[in-house]
Amino acid sequence: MLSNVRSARTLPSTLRSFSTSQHSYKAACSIVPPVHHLVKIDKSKLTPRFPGLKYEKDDIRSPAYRPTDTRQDRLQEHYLNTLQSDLLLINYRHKAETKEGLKNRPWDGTSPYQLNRPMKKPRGSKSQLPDIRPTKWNNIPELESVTINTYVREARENEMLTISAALQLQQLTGCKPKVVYSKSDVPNWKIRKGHAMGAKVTITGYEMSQFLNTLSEIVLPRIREYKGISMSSGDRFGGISLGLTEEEVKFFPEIDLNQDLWPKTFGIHININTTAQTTEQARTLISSLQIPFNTENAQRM
Amino acid sequence: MLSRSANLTKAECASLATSTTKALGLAPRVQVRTKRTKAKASGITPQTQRIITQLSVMSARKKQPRMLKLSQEDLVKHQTIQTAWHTYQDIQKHQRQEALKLQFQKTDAAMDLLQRAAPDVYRHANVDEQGKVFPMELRVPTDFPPRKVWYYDYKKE
Repeated sequence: MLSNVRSARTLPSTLRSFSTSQHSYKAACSIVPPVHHLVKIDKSKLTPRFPGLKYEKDDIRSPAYRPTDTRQDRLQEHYLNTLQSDLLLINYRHKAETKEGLKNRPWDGTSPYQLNRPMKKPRGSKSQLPDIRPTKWNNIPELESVTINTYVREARENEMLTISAALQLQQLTGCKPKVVYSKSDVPNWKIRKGHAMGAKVTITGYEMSQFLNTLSEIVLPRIREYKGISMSSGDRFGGISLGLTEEEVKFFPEIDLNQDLWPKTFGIHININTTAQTTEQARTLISSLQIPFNTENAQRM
Repeated sequence: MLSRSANLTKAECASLATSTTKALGLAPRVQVRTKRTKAKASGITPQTQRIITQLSVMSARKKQPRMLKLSQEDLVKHQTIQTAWHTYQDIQKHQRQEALKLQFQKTDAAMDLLQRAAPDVYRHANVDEQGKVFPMELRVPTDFPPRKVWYYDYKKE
């Protein structure tokens, strides 16, 4: 064993020793070439058996091919033709500079114990916040995706209700939803970990435009005394959410036209994600889709 | 075997089977297969059936269209069109970006000039407009707009 170690030391470092006694002074990850298991090998690319799997998904020979740009996207065209330059102008500020977000604070170095200590959390925030850069031609706020989720409280007793909820989301969006499961036990709410509790779906592109059009042109106008999205809605990083109750969901034409099939509907949460850097920028963008905000009339243009 | 011979009812089959087994001195075999008249006793309630239907609506099985089989010529045609389309999209995107860049630069230049020429006007022009909302009257254009396209004498109530 001893000779083995000595020979490994004397030999050039490219040779690997496979002795089990090496463990005591081995690095946690392999640093001696050849370094294995860093590059994942896609074995479907190696086999000659399934040639269809070797094509990219946007290649028509691939079984996973889906045609894109098959329809006119009204909302996207409106954004490109009209809104984009307006948004650039609204968010323009002369000689604007990058507003730095809160960052972790370094230690002052007065104590030797501060060596290798993780940096202090920023003052007034639990985590670091991103910088806010001035809006220029290349970072104009844009719609990214819409995530719709529904939480079914009655699914505690009857898990099958989540299937109906997922189907409702599929009817509204035309995309396949996912059932979501509770992450933890909450005895007070009678929730058990791993229990199906709702459904969610994320839509982008044409489906997103279609959904937002339906929402702003058909559903929201039919809600009695709808005041608009609350001004307090929004995570600070460009997402804005609104909710619809189970009664309001019935205004979607997909459900409205065959109400017999929907004895039970489910309320939904709609999260609109944009590339805006602040809630204000996101509000400007979303208000351009004929979605009202609960503002005073004076604040409107 | 007897039940397969035609034009025998279930009861006839059963009686025939018992009589033959008696004649041969064998144990009676009463198991006879005929066409099922009752529903399958699998215990599927209407509620379960409803859930199965809902799941089958959501599953992608048998909903995908058959894969296209293209000849070499068709494939080349398709790829040419795709490349041309993507090139066109790239050109359009570039043009839009250039236009926006120009808009930004011109705005910047105008504001520079204004700052030097009329500082008071400049201050009014450089008001922060973050959070401004678009008017609800701004509509997304449609292919089939209403007959009266624009209400020229529109008054906000």
